[in-house]
Amino acid sequence: MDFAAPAGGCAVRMYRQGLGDCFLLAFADLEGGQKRLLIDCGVLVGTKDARQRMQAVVGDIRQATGGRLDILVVTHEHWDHVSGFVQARKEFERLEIGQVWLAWTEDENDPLARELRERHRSALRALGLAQTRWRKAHPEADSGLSARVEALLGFYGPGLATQGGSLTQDAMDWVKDRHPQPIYLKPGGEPAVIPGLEGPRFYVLGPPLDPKLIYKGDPAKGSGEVYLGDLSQGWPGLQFGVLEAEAGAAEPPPPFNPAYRFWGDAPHRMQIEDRYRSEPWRTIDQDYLDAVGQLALMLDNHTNNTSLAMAIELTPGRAVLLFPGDAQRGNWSSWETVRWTGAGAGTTTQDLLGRTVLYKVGHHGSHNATARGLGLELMNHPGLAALIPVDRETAAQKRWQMPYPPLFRRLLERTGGRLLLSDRGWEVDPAAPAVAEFAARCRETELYFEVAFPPAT
Amino acid sequence: MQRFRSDGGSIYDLPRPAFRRLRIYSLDPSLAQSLDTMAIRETRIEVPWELTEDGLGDGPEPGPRGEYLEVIDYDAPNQVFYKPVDLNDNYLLAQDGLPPSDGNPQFHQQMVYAVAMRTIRNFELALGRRALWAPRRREKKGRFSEEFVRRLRIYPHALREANAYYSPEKKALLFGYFPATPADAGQHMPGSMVFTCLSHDVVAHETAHALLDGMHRRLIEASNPDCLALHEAFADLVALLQHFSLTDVVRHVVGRTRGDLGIGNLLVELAQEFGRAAGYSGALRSAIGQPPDPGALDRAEEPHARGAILVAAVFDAFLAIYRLRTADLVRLATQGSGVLPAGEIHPDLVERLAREAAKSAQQVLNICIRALDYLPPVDVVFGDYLRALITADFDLVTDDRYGYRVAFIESFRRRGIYPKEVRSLSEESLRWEGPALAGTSPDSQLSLGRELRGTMAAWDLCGDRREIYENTREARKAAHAVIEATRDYKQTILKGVDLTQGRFEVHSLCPVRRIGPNGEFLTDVVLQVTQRRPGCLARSEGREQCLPPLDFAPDLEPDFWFRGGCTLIFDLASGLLRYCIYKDINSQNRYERQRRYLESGLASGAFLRATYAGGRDDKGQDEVFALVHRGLRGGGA
Repeated sequence: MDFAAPAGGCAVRMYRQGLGDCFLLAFADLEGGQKRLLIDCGVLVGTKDARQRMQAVVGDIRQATGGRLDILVVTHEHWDHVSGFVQARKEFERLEIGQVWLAWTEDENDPLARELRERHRSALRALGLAQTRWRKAHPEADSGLSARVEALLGFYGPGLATQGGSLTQDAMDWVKDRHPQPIYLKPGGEPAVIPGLEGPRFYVLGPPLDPKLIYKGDPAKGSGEVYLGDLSQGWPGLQFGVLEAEAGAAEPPPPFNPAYRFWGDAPHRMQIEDRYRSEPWRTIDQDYLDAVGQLALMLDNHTNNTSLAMAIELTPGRAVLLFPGDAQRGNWSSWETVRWTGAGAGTTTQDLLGRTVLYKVGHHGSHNATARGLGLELMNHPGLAALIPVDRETAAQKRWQMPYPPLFRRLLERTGGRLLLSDRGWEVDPAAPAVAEFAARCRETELYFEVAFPPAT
Repeated sequence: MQRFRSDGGSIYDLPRPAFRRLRIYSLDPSLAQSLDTMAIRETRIEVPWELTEDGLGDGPEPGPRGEYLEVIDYDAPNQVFYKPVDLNDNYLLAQDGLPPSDGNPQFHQQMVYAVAMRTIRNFELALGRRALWAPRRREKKGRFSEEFVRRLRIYPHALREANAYYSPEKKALLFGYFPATPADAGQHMPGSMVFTCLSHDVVAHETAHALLDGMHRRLIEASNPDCLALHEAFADLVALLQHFSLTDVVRHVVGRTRGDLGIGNLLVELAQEFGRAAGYSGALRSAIGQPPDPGALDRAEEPHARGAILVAAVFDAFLAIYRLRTADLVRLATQGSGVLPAGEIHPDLVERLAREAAKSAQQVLNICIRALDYLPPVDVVFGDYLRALITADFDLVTDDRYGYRVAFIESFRRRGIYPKEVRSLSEESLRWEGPALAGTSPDSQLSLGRELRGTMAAWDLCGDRREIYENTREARKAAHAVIEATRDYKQTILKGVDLTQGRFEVHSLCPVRRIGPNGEFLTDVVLQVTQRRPGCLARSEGREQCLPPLDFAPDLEPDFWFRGGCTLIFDLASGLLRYCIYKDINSQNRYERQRRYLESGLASGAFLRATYAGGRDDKGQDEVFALVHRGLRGGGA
């Protein structure tokens, strides 16, 4: 039990497993009694030695907590947030877990949540099958598109295409089974607390209750957005028999009476086909598959928006830690109108953001997971610091802009350099005057970074 | 079966007809099954009668495949070829082509051919020259080569989604089809197939993209938020105005009017009705009919939101012109009261009103297309387009007797679109400046013009399109040599480019006709000269401070290309420079603006996948219009 918060304060440990989230938090009462909470535990598909890394992480968690987690929080169903529950299951089985906190969108008994998930899963299944088919149809093709889709599907765990189901879902199911009564959190209402600890209050900000906002992913303004929810189960680009074939039905009905087709090698057909192939650079054999990439992207945004977003107030009216999961635009933009009751009555989101001293940067610093006007620009606390769980090498390999340079620059400005990246740590000299005080509260090992927040903050 | 078609035309010496009539759906096919609109479900449009490639027989070949277009009906998702339609089949000649049908792919081929040909013809009539597609560009060891592309390919059933786009890489139009979703149940039977290629506006919109790309290749390089917006808005205006010039539909709508002749509202509704086609984004038309808000443009970032404002501005101008042209008719019919007696209006009045609407639409369309020649070669913004509109119209109609230009200026001003650099919104300050005002030496200008005239004396504008293309290339080379020779002149003779350093390119060259002060036909030459300079985003550290030199060769590809250049318009007869429209390659401000814009992540389709696709794509450029269109579908169908 080497992980403890200062009496009346808090400590945050960011693990360095790669591109993925795993945060261990400790809270202490005034007598120094410790409560511990874990937010997510995963690493991206394709990370080298992922299993060993996650086992090391969970092994450390077990040691640090003395084998007991008071709360296990899982923000959303993406592999880079949940892989540990599969890869290090044995270690997790040996952890005692007090409560499980999940977003309301995971609740099996909530009709809206169920509908969202059904839709999401059928789209995911279709994507997996489309990918398999495509590979089969074009074994030699190694187009940028294919790689791009595959990388996105990686968020749902390995082998999605081959197994037809997602391992991410397995991980989530395992988490739900950890406790007979997982707690499903909705934005607003009474702030949540850790049983047996008065101090920290957990203000739930998202996911929003309006599904339209969940489907809102990109920071584009205006009316130009596509919502996954507007599409029926028959996402048009995927209609090439994928869902039907799975159901065992025949091919989908052709658009025209077969009499209009050319059959076999009728001479006229050959003439047309020769003409079509005569300029290979103008053929369109694969263009229709581009829609798959688009769907994968939308699905990814959508899942990110189901993130459980929380503002953790350490002592009433004082410092706040912001853990938004991977919330994207729709999720962020809904916070403004959230209202709390009970101990949280009168608190506003703007107020919480203004008191934020630690921001866990969403979605590894991508361009669309940190709101500007409604987010970062409202974090006005002079001591604001940020943690970015990212692995820039992996991101670069996948050609993802993580962290997104303009956002990264702004983060550096807003935090005055009090910024830690899980891959290589400091971006500025930690001895610099603006950073030194914060740096003194930080601790670094091969496996994690740790920050302490004494009660005075 | 014997065919009357013979290689030398008719055996009885009948002259070939100039036009061929073809049937198309005038509104979305789903409306053909509605009693209200049954009467106008189809319309006939005239397209030029084509010849075969050797000029002896009657075209187009089965496909249809003619001089400009090549429809290839390959259904890639199903890997099927559909039989091509032969428009010269006797049975089809006798009935203006196949009757509209969504279940017959041959009708689909006919319809895309007819609508695309009509769009091409509108461009040719407005510009007074033959339309050329963008050449195929290839890079080999750092050297670019261009290749003539005679035919635009059209794939009516290429995609299995509610999308259609022009592919600049393939020089092709791709149309999609998809099963109607239960959400569309009001309009379609759920599960029935919906075809984007059966919408006049979709086909015309995509063809206009292709034609515009043929004229202004650099407009798809999004160096500012207006470039793609202009591309989208312009394509949509062509579709919209061209649709209004189909009198059948307008006549039907006007005929339904009772009492009140506030036909403006009807036309607004109709514009939106046209846009309500399958798989088509209504977003570009969302501002039509909304009260003008001069601040809206500053708030809009996304290409379609900005484009919608431009579309609305031009549409306002169209309505104003229409009202001017019909004011007398309304007064006559209502005896000055503006209110009609109850009941149906007189069919003669219906006919006249419909014709005026069609005519206004055609004229506004011509003005919009002609303005393209008067745009700067790179980094175009909406304000430039207004100046181009005014200048181009001035060159054709010196005296603005009917107030067209005033109508344009007013409706643009009310939507907040105006050039930042002009002193006032009067017509003469909006017109592009001539050489004397641009502060360059008239003597050397004149010599440049004369040299150009010499090289183009033997230029045949009417010949084969490939010859026109080849001749243009030669003329561009000649112009390049002329300008190259002026490099060591003490005085700058071209604005916008910096001849003291770096290479330059004669980007394009084409003729444009105008009417002189005495009513005589004159020909001008439009010449575009461009230069580029490598640009660095801030992430390439330490290099963003100043403008990199033009010939600076970074080890890696630069983050972006910053371009400048000018559009010169010469009078061909005298060699005098008439206009010089430029974007300065040495402008630090413009460089900074483009850099900031690219960094903001709003550029091109990048905002959709900025994180995942990364910056540049190493191979296989993304289909920019596929992205822009797909990102947008939510608003419409």
